[in-house]
Amino acid sequence: MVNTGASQLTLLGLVLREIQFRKWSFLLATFAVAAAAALIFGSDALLRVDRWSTERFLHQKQVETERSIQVHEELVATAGAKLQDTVRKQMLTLGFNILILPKDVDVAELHMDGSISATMPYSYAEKLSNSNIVTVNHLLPTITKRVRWPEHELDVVVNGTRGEIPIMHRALKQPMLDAVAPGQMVVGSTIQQKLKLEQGQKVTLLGREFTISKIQPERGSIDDMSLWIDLAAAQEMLGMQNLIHAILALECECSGDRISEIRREIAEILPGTQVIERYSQAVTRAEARTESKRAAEEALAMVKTEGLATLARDRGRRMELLQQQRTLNRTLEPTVILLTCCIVAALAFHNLRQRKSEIGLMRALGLGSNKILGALLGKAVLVGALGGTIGVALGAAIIASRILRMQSSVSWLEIWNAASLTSTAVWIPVMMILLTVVASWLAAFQAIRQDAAVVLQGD
Amino acid sequence: MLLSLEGLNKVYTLTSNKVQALRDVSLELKEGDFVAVQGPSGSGKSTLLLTAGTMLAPDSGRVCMLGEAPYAMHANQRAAFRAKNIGFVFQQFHLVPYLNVFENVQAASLGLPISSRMTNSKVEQLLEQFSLTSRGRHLPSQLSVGERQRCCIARALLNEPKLLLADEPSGSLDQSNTQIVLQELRRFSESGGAVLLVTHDSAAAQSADRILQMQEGVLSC
Repeated sequence: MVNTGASQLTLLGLVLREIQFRKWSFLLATFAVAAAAALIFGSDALLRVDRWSTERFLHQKQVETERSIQVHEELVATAGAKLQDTVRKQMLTLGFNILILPKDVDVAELHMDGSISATMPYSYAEKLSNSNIVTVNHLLPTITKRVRWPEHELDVVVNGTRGEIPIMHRALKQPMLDAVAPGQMVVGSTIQQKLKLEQGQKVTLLGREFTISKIQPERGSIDDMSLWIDLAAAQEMLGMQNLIHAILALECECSGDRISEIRREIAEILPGTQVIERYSQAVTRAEARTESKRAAEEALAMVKTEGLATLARDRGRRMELLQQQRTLNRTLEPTVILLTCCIVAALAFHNLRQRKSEIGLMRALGLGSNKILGALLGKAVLVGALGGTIGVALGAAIIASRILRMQSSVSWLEIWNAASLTSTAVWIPVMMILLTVVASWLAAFQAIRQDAAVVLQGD
Repeated sequence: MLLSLEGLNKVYTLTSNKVQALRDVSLELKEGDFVAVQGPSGSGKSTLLLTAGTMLAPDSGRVCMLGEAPYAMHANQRAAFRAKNIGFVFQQFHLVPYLNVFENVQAASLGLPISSRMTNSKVEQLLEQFSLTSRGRHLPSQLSVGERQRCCIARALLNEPKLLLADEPSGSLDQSNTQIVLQELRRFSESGGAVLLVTHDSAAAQSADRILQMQEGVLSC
């Protein structure tokens, strides 16, 4: 007995034995398929990786652009807030810069004497307070009169003030100037120097006693020769009950022709008044700063526009490159497939010539067409599967080494997943199996159609 | 009746010429028959053999085997019928070059359904019967001519066919191997099978119980 240890011979066994016997033909076909698979996988993978890389690059670029815009926005916002605060502080430092006076007041009189002869009812201040005025803040009704301080033989400007009255439709603001309490007096710096006054000192004005509550710092204006007392006391001392000379106000920070707007708004509420503006150079500076803010905002808009345009340009360029690559692939892939089909078909026909007698014998042994076809195409399936798999592995290795040289910060696995290369790695061997089956089909079909009788007769 | 051929005609068209390989050939074989058909090359012997072996449909006439008409069957059915009932022995052996002796014999079972395939022990028994046991793992190219032919006969007998068709089985053999082959054919017929031997060798034909002559497609006693 022969101890072959053999199992039953099957069609697959037959195919494997034939491959083993004609290994060079099998290897040649497998190599052709592997080369094609490597090329197709490589070109497809490159395209996918480039697409992914482009998206990644553009995303990074977009993030950078957005971050840059955000930084600029924050800078502009900070600068704007700072500017606004600076302007506000300047305006506050300068004090009230809007004077609302009775219409028939001669402004020259105010400038020359520091006092006003015409009056208006105190109710004007209340009317303004209850109005919806938006162009001014911080209303301060005052009496301003140049008088001789008989007790000290000095001409001074007496200001009667009662403290700011709130504008009712607005949120209550911190007063710029504290009210002067009854019995107290605030004095300008020149007066203080001339009379050598001190805070807390008691003085008499027109027979009435006051305590100096505060000494104003030097302002370089008529204020240095002014003193401030409670409005009611001033009205009484100067015989001006329920009358005032002026309402001081602070203009809001607004754009355009501010003073005209203020005049228009106040004229509607208080028709018998006029509005004059003091310290306009500060306002000019505030306007310049507002202009700077506007310029900064324009620059920001430009940064935004330029950033987005650069991004769009980059995207366009990248997309164009991808399109070119895609076009190349569309030409390359069918060419490679066709070439491989030709090689596999030629090898299949060559194989058929070698196996003519064997196929005739199989007929004689009672193998049907399906089995013979199965044996022939089974080999094609193996060539496709093996070649496809080797090709994909080869393509992946080549692409990996190339990409990792370019993008060392990202792992190959990460790129593989991000570019969805698994699907490509699966469909290419499947496609290669189909390709080899299709390419071998004609030879196999011819094999099953050949006349076994003729072959077996040896003619 | 095991095999009945009635009025077979077969014409080959070779370019402009027509060759009538079978002319109204009729033949009957029953179990145990050993019939030799003798004739010169090109007389139609191989055509007769392949037609009887259900490999080559006649242009006209009727082939009946074991009560069935194989040429009326679907090709795959006919192939299965052939695998089960007919064994072939060729002058050129037609061994599969990449299968060893054991597998070449096994290959005869490929045409049968898996459930009906012969076991490996049957293959081993045949190898022993044909003195090929020591050659089981050898490829055909490593065998002598006589061994190849014995391997071919072993393969033909694996499925225990009813009919054995031998086309010049001793054509390439020396006298000793010729004797072995003819003895095996004789043994097969004696065991109840029918043998149709086609040969141009008169000595080989003498082994048969009945010798028929074939001349230009005509079969005669």
